[in-house]
Amino acid sequence: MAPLLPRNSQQVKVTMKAHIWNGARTDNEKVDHICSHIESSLANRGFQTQHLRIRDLTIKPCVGCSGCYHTRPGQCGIKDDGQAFIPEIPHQDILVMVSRVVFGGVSSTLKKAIDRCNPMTTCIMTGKSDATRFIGRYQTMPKVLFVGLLDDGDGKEAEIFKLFAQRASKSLQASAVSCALFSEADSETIIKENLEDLLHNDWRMA
Amino acid sequence: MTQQQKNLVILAGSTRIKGSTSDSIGAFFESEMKKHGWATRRFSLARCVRKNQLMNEMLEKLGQADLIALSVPVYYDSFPALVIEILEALVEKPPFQEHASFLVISNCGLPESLHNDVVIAQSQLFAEQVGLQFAGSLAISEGGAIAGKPLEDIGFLTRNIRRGLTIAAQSLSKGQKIPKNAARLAAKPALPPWIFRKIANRLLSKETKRKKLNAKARPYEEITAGHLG
Repeated sequence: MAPLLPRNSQQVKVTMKAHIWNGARTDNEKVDHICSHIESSLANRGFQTQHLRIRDLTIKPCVGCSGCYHTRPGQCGIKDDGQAFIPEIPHQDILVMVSRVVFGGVSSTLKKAIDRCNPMTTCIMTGKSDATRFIGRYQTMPKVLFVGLLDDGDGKEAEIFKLFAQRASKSLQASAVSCALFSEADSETIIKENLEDLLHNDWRMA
Repeated sequence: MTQQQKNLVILAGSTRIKGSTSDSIGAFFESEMKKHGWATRRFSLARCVRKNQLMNEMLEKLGQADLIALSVPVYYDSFPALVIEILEALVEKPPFQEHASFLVISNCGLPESLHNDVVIAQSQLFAEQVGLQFAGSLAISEGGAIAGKPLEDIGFLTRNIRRGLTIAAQSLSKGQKIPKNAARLAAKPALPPWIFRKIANRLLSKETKRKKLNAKARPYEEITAGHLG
């Protein structure tokens, strides 16, 4: 599978788009710095980027009403800031989700936004290999990169995060998925270098 | 010698205020535990975040609990955001007694229990982080068939779930963890996945035809010059 980003940036003929969902619960977290690195890295490659600080948005939790399946297919009825970015999802080439690793998953802040992505899916079920999934609504969906920040590089949490990333990317109808984990102890240089490598590597099919 | 009464707190982790699968499962589990003499309280997390008084009451009861049960739906393969928020707060300020135990009953809408895997793992991590003993887990599938109704009223579709919960309640009341046979029973789907999918898709098709809706509508589709497709 071809790398996400062409090595020669002049090959990019159209503007690619990226959303960065910042799941930091408070200001000045290392998560903010990681998001800023990703934003500038993508912008340098000609991406049109949008860095969403989820904590600054009013996003109410999904209430499981299934209105996006049974009442207004593909649309969430909750009127809040979610209406501004959820419709943009199918138009992104990359969706980057950044958060501290919390119980092996993402923070409550980021999860609020993820839980609101049901409009991207129909509730028509399909059996693929050994697990049933819902069929996606849109023909093209972004590649999803999950970036997690661990407190102390705990092995168990890292494994659960990778499993979460793999499973959630399928539920999100991602066209491909990648996952990066960093530790609080990692320096900014190491984080920058690893992110650059990651954005150039092949992505796995979700 | 009289046995000291044991206290159970059940947390229903659905984002719905009422009529959720997590509530129904929590209610059945509560009734089974009551048969073994437990004093029980059940809280809806969705209600607790809306009312400070209820939240404070929940925290007080958690501090008195010998056993805490989380009945929770799977959202995007993990805890719903609401549950993570509550658990994050509990990690910051754990109210639990030293000897208290914790178990999780996870439910997903799809017909395979493996979709609960991450939630089960997350629950174990939570228990470790707050010093609770992990008493086990039950992973339930085809949760949509329950849809807020009492489990007893649904009949054979919840037979395995009810049996699993009953066996779990027996073991927990003896101070043991949830046994493997209870977990196996509860995880067994009532309908084979391919039949469940067929029925669910057919019901959806009937409903959308009746309402004159397009189940595959793409309201946010817009072909822009800047998008590679």
